[in-house]
Amino acid sequence: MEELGWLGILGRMALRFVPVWAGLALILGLGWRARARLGPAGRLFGSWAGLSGLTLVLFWVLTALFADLIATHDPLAQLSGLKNAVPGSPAPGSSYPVYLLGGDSLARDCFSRMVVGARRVLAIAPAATLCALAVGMLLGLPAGFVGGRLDAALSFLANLVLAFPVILLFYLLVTPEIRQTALPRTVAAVLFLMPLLFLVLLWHSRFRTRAGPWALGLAAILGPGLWIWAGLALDADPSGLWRLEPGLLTVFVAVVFVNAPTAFRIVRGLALDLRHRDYVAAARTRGEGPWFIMLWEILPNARGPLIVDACLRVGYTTILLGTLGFFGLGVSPESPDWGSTINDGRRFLAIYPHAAVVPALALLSLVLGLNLLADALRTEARHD
Amino acid sequence: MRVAAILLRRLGALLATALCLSLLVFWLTHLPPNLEKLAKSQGSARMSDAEVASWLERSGFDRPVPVLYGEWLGLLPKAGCGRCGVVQGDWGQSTVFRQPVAEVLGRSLAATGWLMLWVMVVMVPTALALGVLAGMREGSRTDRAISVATILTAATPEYVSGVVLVALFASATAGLSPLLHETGWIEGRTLFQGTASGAMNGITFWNFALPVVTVALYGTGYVARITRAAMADAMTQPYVRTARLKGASQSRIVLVHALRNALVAPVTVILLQLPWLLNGVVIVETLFAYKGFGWTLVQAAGNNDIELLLGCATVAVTLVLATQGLSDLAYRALNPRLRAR
Amino acid sequence: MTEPVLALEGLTVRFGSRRVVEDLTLRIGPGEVLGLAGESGSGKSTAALAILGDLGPGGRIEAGSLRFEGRELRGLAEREWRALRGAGIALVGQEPMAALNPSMRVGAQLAEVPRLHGRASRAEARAAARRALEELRLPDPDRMLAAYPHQLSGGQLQRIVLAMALMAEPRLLILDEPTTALDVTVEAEIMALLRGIRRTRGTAMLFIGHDLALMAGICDRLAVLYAGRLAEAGPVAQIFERARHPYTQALLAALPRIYAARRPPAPLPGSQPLPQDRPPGCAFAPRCTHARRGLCDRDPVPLETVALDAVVRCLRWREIDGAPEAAPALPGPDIGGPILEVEGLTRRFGSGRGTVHALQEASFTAFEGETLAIVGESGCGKSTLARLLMGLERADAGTIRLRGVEVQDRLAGRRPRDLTAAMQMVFQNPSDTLNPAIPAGRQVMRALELFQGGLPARTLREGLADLLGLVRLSPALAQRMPRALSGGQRQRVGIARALAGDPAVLVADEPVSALDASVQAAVIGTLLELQRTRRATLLFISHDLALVRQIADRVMVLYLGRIMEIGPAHRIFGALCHPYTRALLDAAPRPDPGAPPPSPLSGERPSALTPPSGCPFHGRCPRRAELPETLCEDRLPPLAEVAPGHRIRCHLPPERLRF
Ligand SMILES: Nc1ncnc2c1ncn2[C@@H]1O[C@H](COP(=O)(O)OP(=O)(O)OP(=O)(O)O)[C@@H](O)[C@H]1O
Ligand code: SF4
Ligand code: SF4
Ligand SMILES: [Mg+2]
Repeated sequence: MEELGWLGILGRMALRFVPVWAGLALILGLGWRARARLGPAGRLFGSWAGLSGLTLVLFWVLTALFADLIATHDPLAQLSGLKNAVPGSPAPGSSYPVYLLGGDSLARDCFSRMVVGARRVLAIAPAATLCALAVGMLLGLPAGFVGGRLDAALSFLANLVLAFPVILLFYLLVTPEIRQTALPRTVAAVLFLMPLLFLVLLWHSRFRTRAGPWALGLAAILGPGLWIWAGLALDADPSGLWRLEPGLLTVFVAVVFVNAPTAFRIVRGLALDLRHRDYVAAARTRGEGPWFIMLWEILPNARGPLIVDACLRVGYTTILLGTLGFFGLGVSPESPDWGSTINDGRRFLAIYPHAAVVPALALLSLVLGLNLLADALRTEARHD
Repeated sequence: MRVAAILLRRLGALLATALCLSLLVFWLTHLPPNLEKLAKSQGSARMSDAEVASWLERSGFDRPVPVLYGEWLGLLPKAGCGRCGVVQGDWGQSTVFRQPVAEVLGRSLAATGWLMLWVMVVMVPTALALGVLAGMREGSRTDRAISVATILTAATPEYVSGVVLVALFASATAGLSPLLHETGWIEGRTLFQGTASGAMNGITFWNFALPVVTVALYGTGYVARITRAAMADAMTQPYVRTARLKGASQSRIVLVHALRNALVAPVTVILLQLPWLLNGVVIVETLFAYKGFGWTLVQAAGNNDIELLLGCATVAVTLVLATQGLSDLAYRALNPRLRAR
Repeated sequence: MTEPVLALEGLTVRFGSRRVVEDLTLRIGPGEVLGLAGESGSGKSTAALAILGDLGPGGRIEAGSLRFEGRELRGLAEREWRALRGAGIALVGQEPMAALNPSMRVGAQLAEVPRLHGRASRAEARAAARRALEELRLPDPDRMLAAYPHQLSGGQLQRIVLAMALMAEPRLLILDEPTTALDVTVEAEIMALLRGIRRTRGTAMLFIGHDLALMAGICDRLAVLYAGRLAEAGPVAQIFERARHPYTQALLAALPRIYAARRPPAPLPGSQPLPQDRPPGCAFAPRCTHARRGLCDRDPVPLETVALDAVVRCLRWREIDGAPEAAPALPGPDIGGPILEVEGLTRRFGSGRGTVHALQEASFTAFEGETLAIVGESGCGKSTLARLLMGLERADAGTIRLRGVEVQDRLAGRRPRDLTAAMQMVFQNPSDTLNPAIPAGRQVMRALELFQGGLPARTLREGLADLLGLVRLSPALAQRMPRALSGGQRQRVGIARALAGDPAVLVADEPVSALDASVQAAVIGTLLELQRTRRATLLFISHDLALVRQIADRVMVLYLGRIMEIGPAHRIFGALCHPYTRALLDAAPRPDPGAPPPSPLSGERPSALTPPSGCPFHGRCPRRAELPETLCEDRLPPLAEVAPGHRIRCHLPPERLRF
């Protein structure tokens, strides 16, 4: 088989992405039809930035979802003779006749690595963002709402972490040596407890006056919650369903750790701004407790900026994961995540740029999509 | 009087933070696995556990971390030289470079200083101009064009833009260079140089442009976004309407009335940007093999060069804290409401 | 006939798909002051901006003509606009603080005007700025010129904005609610200045406002705007005497009148429609008691000239008789024993620059079933008192006894449930009183849930429907988000929420001050009715003396954190009162074009940071000279009883406080 030209490559790639196109058409079509009923989310369809951001993000989400269908090769398999092969090189005797975007320095298929890498990134980044936001809310709400010494202490801690250059922190936290210590597990145990604690407080403050729903809800939260927590953080799930390999755990913890203080600052600022509203005073005068006020009166009004922040933060986390990979601190050396792949590819950058450019552009388009989305959401909120 | 008090308070907080952080770094670098690795790299890779332990004992690493920290700081006397630590100006010895840490740091900081300087020279005017232009007329065509461009660059981390720029301008097989070479526009194989190691001996446009642009790109987008938001906000303020209804021209409104108030946010952010630039610098120096502070940090961390790493950390943290303090002062200076008090 | 300064002819302005102003025809002659009255959202500010050619993005003039001194303004080039703005037409807005550039010295902002419009040199411009400040009687002009806006008080800032508008000697001055953000005393001062300017310079003015009483004092003619259209226009005296349009009549009836005791303002049901849901026929039809089905709701109603210089937009103006029914007088209160006893209540706030004495040694008792009004200028400690009572803040000293139980040491949330339910609060700001993220009904429901804990869900739902009915809201509104409710509706939901625990004491902190006049009356009516039927005690905080006069049983006057006077309303408004109370009464505008202008109180209100020694009022007191030497400066007068239940804090003997 001949080496493919660029048209051929693009055509074949488009064909591989058919499940994604179908998904995109379905979701965007339904969203468009229902846009009038979707509120602010629906108005995204009316703005150029919102629509393109949404499309880009959905594209990568669907790619991550259907990665197995789209990938042409095993992302770890090496084919002899295809070392640094240019895009469109024929790959005889494998699961697909061409290396669509060429081979890397270990003769693996760049296209498949990009596709599977999306799954990696989109599994970690949103989860880490949610975790960081939970930490940010749990500490930022009281800091802003109560203020005083509590605020001073928490803010000092946050500034402490913020004063660390991110890369230094990574070099200190994500080394093989650190993995041998109990540090990652301990930090993970604390960090992962936060989302759980958040849900418990949410339920408790709302239903403390009604014993029935209160007990039922807490049982429903704590049962599975503690199980997942024990599995992920302590590696103590007997069934083995919830488990994080140590490398991934360390990376996850590091990323959450870096994100949490900025999330804290944002939530604190919002709480500080909202705590003097009359409806907060009204809640206090009818005898509500502080957690009810923070979680049920203040938080719902902060959700707009928080959603925007979450979008930006997923993008930022993606960048951070890439940074980790770039310095060889990623999950594992041969992992197909985009940062590690860029790191592998940059050695031959001047001669065979494709191995690094492909994941670089992938990462760029995902982050761009998220930022466009955030921008559109913010504009929507402002014009409301 | 009041300003002095504020400065003093800030300085105190800064010192407390720096101490906390250096202790943290010290503790992290002196965790048992790190020390074990140090022993093996200094002694031999095949040391037994007992040999490691005795090596550590001989080198004095078996004592409690606070004591070691005190010695490093120079608050506790060290065997051999009395009190000689960071406070006295003795930063220890780098194991990788086999030179005093202070010397290594001095050299690399100077190199990074040049990089930072050029980044600022490129970034600040571009970002402010773009932001002001976009924010002046929110929703106009100019605004939308600039917005797309700035969102794009703000979404591009340095390792992506660096890779893409090298592929475009400094690759012998891809991008512009082969074309230019074939048509005889350029002598060499590539338009720009893909490494900046030559810049250590002399900075030229061709060996320095790519690293500078790579670092500046992200910051430019980010600062321009902030400037735009601040400018757009200022343009909707009632005092701008007052100025317009006084009969002021559009340029006067923008330059005299809106700009001054709109600049508070971006100037603060530019200063807070410095630490992030530090990140970019580490990436770019690694990517372009420029032997500055970032490169040194990576070398120190990658080779478990504990004293050099401690030195890097101290410098980095001080830099960050200093910029935070500066941005605070700038905010006060730019904001008459705060200044007058 | 002389050429009018400004003539609008069928002006129609739209923002996007909404017609905000429709078919507006106005004329302002030289030296004339035209009042443009309307509620918020009626399009009056839009009209002003259209006249200044500054509608902003999205707004455009769809039809009609604007002539300024005979010259058509529609389609003027930007350069021509620039020359006209400031020098030809100038604007003074509502928020003086926002209207001035926060990072520029006042002097530079003033000097900009002559620099822009003449060929004045820097020094000349500066001298002109100084003269302008002197003309507006600003003390210490040199300090003012060097100051930044945040260093000056609201009244000073508004005078500076006014000076700035006058510097280029405009032929038309547009005043868009120039005193809304200011205290009555300061308002009276600004109004006196405006009258002075009019006398000495003969500048034509367009005075935009919502307060007819205020406008009566300065306008020659009045135009009433409703839902973007002119409802009625004519000479001000004629309108006050015999308004033809039912809306104008209702507005006049809803005006609080300072000399009408114990007669709440007449309510007007409903609220003004938004531009997008205006009815096809007469926009006022849904609220009009004279509306005829099949007549008023069909075609747009034309403007009709009914007399020389008077127009009205109503199909039935001939049949409608002048005044609408006045609200019935309130029945006398049924007053019981003491329910809330406050003793020596003090609250200080420490700030970087010193201590603010927000409330000092306040002692009073409120009785079951009465309405006790608390009045005073901004910053005198009214809200602080309310917040202390509610346990939102901790008192520095003093006791609060509610139903005989001391509660001052228990913040809200730590009080037992029955005491929490027994005292509830209604808040000032309709956009803030309800949580914008939660449906209105659910917020009332939550209060029911807390106060009537343990009741089954069905009973709670019935309770909710009952409460909404009580405050005259349809139960369907419970599902709505607060922003889908009008200001008045939100305040009613807030009242319903406060009533959930069947409170014995209702603290209302300026519950209607942010509402439009026509809506205000209705909310007050609801509040009073509930108070009378449930025999609750109403602590009514307000700065509007006229309103207080109409509804209060007793009045308490605060100044700089001190109670200056407390006593029965009929006595305070009748025979004898404190000099400060007197000054407040004199400064209040009268809804009567013929009345003598209100007299302003001279002097700046001292900062709460540096409260004066002795009598807090001595710096501004007009009676101070009647007392020997430095008595008022040296000694704080006691709050002495001058008649049963009437106490006054003044060194003057009671007989000399009579009027
Ligand atoms: N949290 C606070 N911190 C510092 N000072 C405060 C605080 N709350 C109120 N004050 C000050 O206390 C004084 C009284 O304020 P308060 O809000 O009670 O006045 P008010 O009579 O309700 O005024 P307004 O009519 O403007 O509502 C003011 O000088 C105010 O600046
Ligand atoms: S036209 Fe009809 S509805 Fe309108 S004001 Fe006149 S009587 Fe009322
Ligand atoms: S005590 Fe003196 S200053 Fe105070 S109110 Fe009486 S007369 Fe005026
Ligand atoms: Mg108040």
